[in-house]
Amino acid sequence: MSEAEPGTANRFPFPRTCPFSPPPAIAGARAQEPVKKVSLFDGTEAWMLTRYEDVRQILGDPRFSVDPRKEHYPFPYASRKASLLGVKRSIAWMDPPEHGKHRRMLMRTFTQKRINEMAPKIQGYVDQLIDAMEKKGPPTDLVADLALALPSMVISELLGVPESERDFFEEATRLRMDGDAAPEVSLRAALEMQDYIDRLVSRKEADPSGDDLICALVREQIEPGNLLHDEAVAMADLMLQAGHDTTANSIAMSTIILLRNPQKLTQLRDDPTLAPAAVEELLRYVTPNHTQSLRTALADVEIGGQIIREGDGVIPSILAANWDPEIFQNPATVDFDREHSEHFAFSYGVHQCLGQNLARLELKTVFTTLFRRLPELRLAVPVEELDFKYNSFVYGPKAVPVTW
Amino acid sequence: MDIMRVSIDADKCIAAGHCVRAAPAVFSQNEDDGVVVLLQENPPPEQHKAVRSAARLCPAVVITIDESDQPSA
Repeated sequence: MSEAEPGTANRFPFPRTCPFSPPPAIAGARAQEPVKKVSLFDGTEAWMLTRYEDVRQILGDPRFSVDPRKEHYPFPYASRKASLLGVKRSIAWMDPPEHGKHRRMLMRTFTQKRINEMAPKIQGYVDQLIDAMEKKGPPTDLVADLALALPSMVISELLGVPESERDFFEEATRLRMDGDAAPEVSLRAALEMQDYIDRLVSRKEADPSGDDLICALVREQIEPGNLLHDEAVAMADLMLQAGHDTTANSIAMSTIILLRNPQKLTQLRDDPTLAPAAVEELLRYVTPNHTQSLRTALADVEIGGQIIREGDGVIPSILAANWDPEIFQNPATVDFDREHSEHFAFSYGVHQCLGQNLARLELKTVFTTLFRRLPELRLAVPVEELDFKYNSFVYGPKAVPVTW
Repeated sequence: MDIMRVSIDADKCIAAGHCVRAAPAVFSQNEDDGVVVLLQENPPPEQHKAVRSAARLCPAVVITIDESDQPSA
């Protein structure tokens, strides 16, 4: 590959050789050069960090900005750059204190108590989707019929997005995340999705009587003047994307990994109390946001013996951290009994995922239901035939044909 | 012996919810804004492991633990 494309040997994101493991270049970098200069698609450079402790340090340090408008922000793909800079900027790309102000408006919706109250509803959705799979009969695509459907239904209802818009926002999100897409294609998808949400927020401003999150934001934040319409649009857009795509890929990848580890799957099916530990371990293993948590240094900072200069782009790799053998021994082994289970699949620091406990609940509900309801579940094709979104901002399989 | 003093910097809280999952007897979340609420400043020894875990997990470093045996004057 490096022969065909000169200068790509040190280019981030590095290619995977196995769909279930990080790119080999990550382990190589961690062993030899844990704070390493890598090149990006546009020829610029950034620092890639691959040790758990270094990643933790950067993500917890306010001297690193998440703002993609900074000159050397390390975009992994041209399409990502186009689609991120071309639309309204959401909370994920705001630094303190702007970030905290906006995050606080959303926090009450995602408390552990509120999430726990959603458990019966999510159980109902999972049962309903598996009923439909059974009715349709095997083989089915686990991605379309469960992994993607569940989080899409959950986040649509939470935000007050009509169920009929699912195909639209799932496809738009896919194009926004796709590193192989032409920049103008990703940007157009992003603009169409934000335009749709813009109109949705306007409708809810005209009648904010619904019990969904956008209506609550209208009543509690927009009307009193705490939040601008455009800020609410960016917020809802982010939650709609992050609320379905990441969880969908986590469910799909985790299911394949469990099917490849039948002993673990049986253990989990027979003892549902293992589910919380299984969720954490599979989140660590999968890390669907494999190129996420990008930063720009706001000051000169020494880390791992290197000086990162003010303005430098920084890639604290959460995927690398989650497979750091110093912290997670035998990282390629699925192990529900890890002493250290503090992974960064939801990132770390003040930007750690707002919806993480909702994601945990969805994963747990799938794990405790799917293998019990369909004990004969297995891949309908050899694993080698599965196709993965290698160059997507959020990683996972394109489809998972299953039978039972 | 086995004295633990817990304090929180609620202004920094981002409601990731790790503390409530790790040590629900010691931490709660305000229903209005999701911000951490400290239920026990001096949790009993059987809670100490969970509280240490909560403090380690907190991504915004909101929780401070003092386990020095000397009671503060």
